[in-house]
Amino acid sequence: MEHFLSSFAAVLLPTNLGLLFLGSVLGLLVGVLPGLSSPMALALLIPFAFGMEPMSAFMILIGVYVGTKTGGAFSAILLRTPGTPAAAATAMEGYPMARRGEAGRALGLAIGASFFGGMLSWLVALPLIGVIGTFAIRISSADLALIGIMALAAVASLSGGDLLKGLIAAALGIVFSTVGVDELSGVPRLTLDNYHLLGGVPFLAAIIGLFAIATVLIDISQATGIGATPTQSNNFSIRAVFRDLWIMRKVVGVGTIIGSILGIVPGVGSDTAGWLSLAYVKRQIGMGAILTDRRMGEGVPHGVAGPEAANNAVTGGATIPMLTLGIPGDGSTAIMLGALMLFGLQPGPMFFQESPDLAYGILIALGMANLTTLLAAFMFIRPFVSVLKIDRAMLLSTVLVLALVGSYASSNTSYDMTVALVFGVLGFFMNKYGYSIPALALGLILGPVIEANFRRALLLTRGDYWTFLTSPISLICILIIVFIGIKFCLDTWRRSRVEGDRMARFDK
Amino acid sequence: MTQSQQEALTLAVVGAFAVFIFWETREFAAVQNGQFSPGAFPRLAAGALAALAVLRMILLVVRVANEPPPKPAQWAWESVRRPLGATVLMAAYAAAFGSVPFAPLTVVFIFSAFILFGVRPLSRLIAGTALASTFLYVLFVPLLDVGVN
Repeated sequence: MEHFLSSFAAVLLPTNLGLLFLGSVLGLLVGVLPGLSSPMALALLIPFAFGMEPMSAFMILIGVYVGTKTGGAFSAILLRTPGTPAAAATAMEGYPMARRGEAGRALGLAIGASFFGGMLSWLVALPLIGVIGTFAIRISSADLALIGIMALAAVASLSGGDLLKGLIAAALGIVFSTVGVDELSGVPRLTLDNYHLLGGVPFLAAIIGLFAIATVLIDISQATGIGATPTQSNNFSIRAVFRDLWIMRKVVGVGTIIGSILGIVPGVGSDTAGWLSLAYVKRQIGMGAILTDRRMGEGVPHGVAGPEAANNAVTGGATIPMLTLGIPGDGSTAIMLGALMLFGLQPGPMFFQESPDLAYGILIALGMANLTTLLAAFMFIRPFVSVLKIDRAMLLSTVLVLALVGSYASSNTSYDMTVALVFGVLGFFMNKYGYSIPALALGLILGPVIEANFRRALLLTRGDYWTFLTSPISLICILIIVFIGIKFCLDTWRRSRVEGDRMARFDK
Repeated sequence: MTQSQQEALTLAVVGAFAVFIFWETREFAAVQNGQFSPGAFPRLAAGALAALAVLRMILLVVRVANEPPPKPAQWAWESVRRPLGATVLMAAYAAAFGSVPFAPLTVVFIFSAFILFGVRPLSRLIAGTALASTFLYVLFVPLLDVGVN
């Protein structure tokens, strides 16, 4: 409690609050612009944040993380092009609302529901983190290694759709993570006699390449631009927003529960939460529990409030495994964990014991970020709408320079620029052929965690592999991994049967 | 090259990479002095990589065998030209970084990227270059500690 209160006071310092607000504004900006994502913004920001105190750096990073979730709704509603994948479900009802001349109402609902979703999930996460944190200290090395493998399997199975390709990406990430001097024995591995590689693959440069450079290359290869002109928001009223949200409190509440639960599961992500919440709204309308004169697809306001509450509620849930176990659930949390490591901190079960001020500071900032994002979104709603008119070519070129110089600035060597470029090209091809980039990033982050715990567990038991089967946590992890494998086999078998039927019809 | 052939090629590259990792860690035995050797984990990951690539290849072969003959793929030059150009530009920027002063280098990069990405007309191109370059210069020079001229 003492650490919680001192961290609370630290977060409330004007500098930290200002940085949190700045992060929210930047996050909203990035979220508004289709093609720019939360991981990309975080990766580009780390070189700037690296010169700050860890607490200040995380203020801005968390502001961006929360801000992008809300910002994605702007372009989803005004252009039917979600600014982030998380806002895809919002576009289904948000855009028809904008077409009916209710753009302002839809934007207001999205901002308000995002705030309540994020805030409520944070309130749920607070006590849970305490409980799981206490429990996490007792987790053994063998358990941690298996939790890491389970998280990778979950992300691989859910992020790209094809489990095998997801696992290949994750394994590739693990291989890259083993480059450099082995921490336990001091032996160099996979360094190709290159002294640059003795310290391993530079994490920040790799992440900048995967999430910033690759995204730009993908974007320009598709040659898509913003063709539509954003609808103007002209009927915006804060009081009406809160009145609407009160009417839709059940949808917002259920969306928050869906998001909070899914946030805890690695790999599921905000987009799934949004779609599930939209499905709930659809079901409620079908059952007559929501009274509206509109059909789904015609601009049902509940279809904006529910998904937005759900995709923001994911932030609270995702914080639980990130802070207590050191297991990230998606690209954004993986980058934030990487940032912690760059500051020389070790996220995981001991994080709250070893760095309580920062750990509680991050937790509190997450709640406060919902408030600063709400404030920034209401304050700058019109400028954010205008941002959608920025020329994409100019934006993407600027991102390229930001990425290259940002990777240079992380260690002041142009070698890191080359690494960023190589990983950018790798990310481009991975995306082109359907391999999950977040799975690779997670492999890169979790590789050392899995290896260190795996080897420690074997060292403690003198090479007895049964240690991985003796605790209930390990068994649960193994069962989940087996379940993912069985589900993949069943899906493949079902797909091949459907394909077989189609071919039989084709032959006839 | 059809989509399936491209996919097979990527899997072959993954497999070759796994073999390369095995080759690079050949001097490590699986267990050294009764402990898990430093090379064992990369080899384990590379082994998983190879096994997954082979499994995916088998599934691909089964799928291709059940599919109607593919149409010849159209080479979409447009989808390759810009990423390739951007990669060459970035490589040139990285190579010249440090030896050419930051401001002119960034101006040339931004100008070239704008042309590549299709910014027209000329007035917009020049104004955009000036604006973006100034923004980047102001943003980066304090961060780089003027270590790049």
